[in-house]
Amino acid sequence: MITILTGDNNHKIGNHVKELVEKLEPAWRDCNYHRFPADALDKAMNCALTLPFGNVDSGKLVVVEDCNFKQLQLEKPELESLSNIPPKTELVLVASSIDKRLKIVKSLLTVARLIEFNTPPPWQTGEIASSLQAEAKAIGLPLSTEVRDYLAEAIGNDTARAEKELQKLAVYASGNKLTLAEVRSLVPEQTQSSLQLADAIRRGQTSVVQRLLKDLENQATSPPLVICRTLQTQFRTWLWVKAAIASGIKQDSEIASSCQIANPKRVYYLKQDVAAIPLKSLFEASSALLNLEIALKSSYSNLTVLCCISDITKLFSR
Amino acid sequence: MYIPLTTKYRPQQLADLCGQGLIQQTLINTVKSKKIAPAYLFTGHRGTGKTSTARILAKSLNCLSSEQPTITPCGECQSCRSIEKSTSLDVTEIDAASHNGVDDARQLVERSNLAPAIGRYRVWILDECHMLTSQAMSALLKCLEEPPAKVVFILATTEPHKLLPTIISRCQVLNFRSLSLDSITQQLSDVATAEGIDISSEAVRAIARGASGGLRDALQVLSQLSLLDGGIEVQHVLEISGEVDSNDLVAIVHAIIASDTFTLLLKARELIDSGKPPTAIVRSLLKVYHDLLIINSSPKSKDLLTGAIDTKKLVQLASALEHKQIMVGVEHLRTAEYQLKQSLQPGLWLEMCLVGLITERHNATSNGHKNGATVPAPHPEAIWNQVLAGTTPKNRQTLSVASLTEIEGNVAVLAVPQNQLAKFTKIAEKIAKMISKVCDKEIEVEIEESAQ
Repeated sequence: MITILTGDNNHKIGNHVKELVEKLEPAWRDCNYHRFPADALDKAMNCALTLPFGNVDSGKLVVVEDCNFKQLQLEKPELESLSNIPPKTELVLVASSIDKRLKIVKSLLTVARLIEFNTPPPWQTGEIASSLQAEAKAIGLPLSTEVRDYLAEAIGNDTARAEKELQKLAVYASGNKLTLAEVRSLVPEQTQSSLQLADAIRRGQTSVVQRLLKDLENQATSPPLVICRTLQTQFRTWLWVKAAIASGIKQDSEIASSCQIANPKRVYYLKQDVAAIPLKSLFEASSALLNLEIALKSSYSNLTVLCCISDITKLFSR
Repeated sequence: MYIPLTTKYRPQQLADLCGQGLIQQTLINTVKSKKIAPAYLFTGHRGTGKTSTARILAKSLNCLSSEQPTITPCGECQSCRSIEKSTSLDVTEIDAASHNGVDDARQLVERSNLAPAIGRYRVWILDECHMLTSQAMSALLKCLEEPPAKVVFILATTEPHKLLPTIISRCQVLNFRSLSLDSITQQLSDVATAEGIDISSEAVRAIARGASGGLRDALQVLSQLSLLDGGIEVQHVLEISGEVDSNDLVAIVHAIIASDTFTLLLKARELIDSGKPPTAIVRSLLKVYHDLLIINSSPKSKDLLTGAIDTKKLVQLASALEHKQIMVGVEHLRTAEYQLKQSLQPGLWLEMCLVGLITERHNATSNGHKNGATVPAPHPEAIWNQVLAGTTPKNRQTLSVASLTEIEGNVAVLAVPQNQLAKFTKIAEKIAKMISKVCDKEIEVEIEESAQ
């Protein structure tokens, strides 16, 4: 049996290999599990073709890591010999990407099965949320909809982190239902709160802004400079979108390409965000944030951040 | 032998942890359910209990008085005592700041393969792990992901952003929050009672406020104060921490509001003479302005205040200042803080800075009025149209060949075609009257030839 594992999600590929290892006969596991680098493919083939240790049913797993199919040298007799692999032996080829037009891949796929592990793009929160839900269910952790949505936003498409965070939550909950407040505190999300901060500033909600800043400071997961950087990016995007609209560009796709926004669907929300804001305020806010960066770099004090940010908030409160 | 308070009152069990409810619960459940992750990462500000928690977890896992991991380590068995003395064979606490090289990391990986000698788990506590070089972190990666059985890594750091993202994603991350004012106050009064230190409750609060969320700093100040004779009051705390008394601060802000330069200078001199460093004065003043800003912009969020001044007094002060004035003051103090650090004569700078606050305040006010008073001048063309609309149709026809190009002060400039120049010069006075009527002030008219 030949399997090709491909995709950019190394964590999930690793998990799949682990599952395969578990299937081997425990007593002979150490003797029957082999890993090879890509340039030792011939050795791997030989290894796969020999019978497993123990009895015939104990199974064998041969993993070839980091295969680059463009450089793989497989002659015809070798390819034919692939079909002679013993029935309980599994040859696993791991590759970060696969090009199905290649001759060698075509011939391999006639005998092998292909499993893809791709990370979902970060903006497909729906997909991420449902995969989180499934993972949580597997470890026996009930998630309410709001908690699931929060986690999807906080963790994003980082599956390795998602697994760890869910384990942590499962241990904390130990059978009880989790509230959103608990989850927020156990899985703090810096970028998320920074974006919330940007939103509150844009709406001119001074008290919300101050509370968020205090929270960010207490969590101490990243320094003020990182928060400043996130705010800069967000305000710059808004500035670009507003400027594009002001200059008469109407098509969303055109705005997206000129403002360097990867996901054109986001433009719809961005347009709503900036609808009521004058271009001038956005410009002033952006330059104030640049000044804040310099202030932070020259002499740090958390009061600096607070004062500068409330100053910016005032620009938007009408 | 004298043991520092911070060491003496280090929590010994998970239940004793202060102010970290969720983390406490998570770890208790971890130990109870024996779902122990191969690697933990503790992050948070200084003095929030990262290292203490790591030691407690190590003890809980290895205590010999019970058959399995327990949430109540005895503190008396050989394992517990050796962990306390850091002589344990199974629990190794490494100061990653001084063992940060890739060789140290390799050695660690090698030694982690050895089975635990007495206890159940081999625990590695890597304190200050952000100081590891990136090569050292990479060397640890493999071991963190698939550590040998019965090995637990506990990484502790104040700066998690300096770690490789791959390290973070392999660990179970627990964020230690800064302790709240109340929990520090509570802890301090408990220690004070246990030690028999005579301290007033206001003084305890003042210590807690100065500690900015770190219990160790607070206990340090308390142990320093406990050496004094007699009861400890607020002013003692302020003296030790170098903070300025709230009454003095209020007096300074009052003087600024009243524009009383002399009183202000006197106050500054008094403070400097009493041994307060100018930077501390400026920083305290900055805190006051910060609180004023909060009161001014969101009066409801009183819990965000950081300074020691009574809320009532603050509200009173804030009402005397406009938002813009506070902002300008903050800006001024911020630049002054930087300049004071560089200056050879900080005392002089401080005086200038305080006087500057008065003038800045005035500037902020007068600017505001000026902006309010000046109405944007209407466009000359609009005025001319109004003039035309107010005349008879016949006059309108005559006048419409001309155009008003500008109005500056009391002089209006009228552009007229060359052939009409003489005619318009004659009626200039009449036109001036018409324009004056529209503009509501005396206007003189100058006739000039139009461009075409």
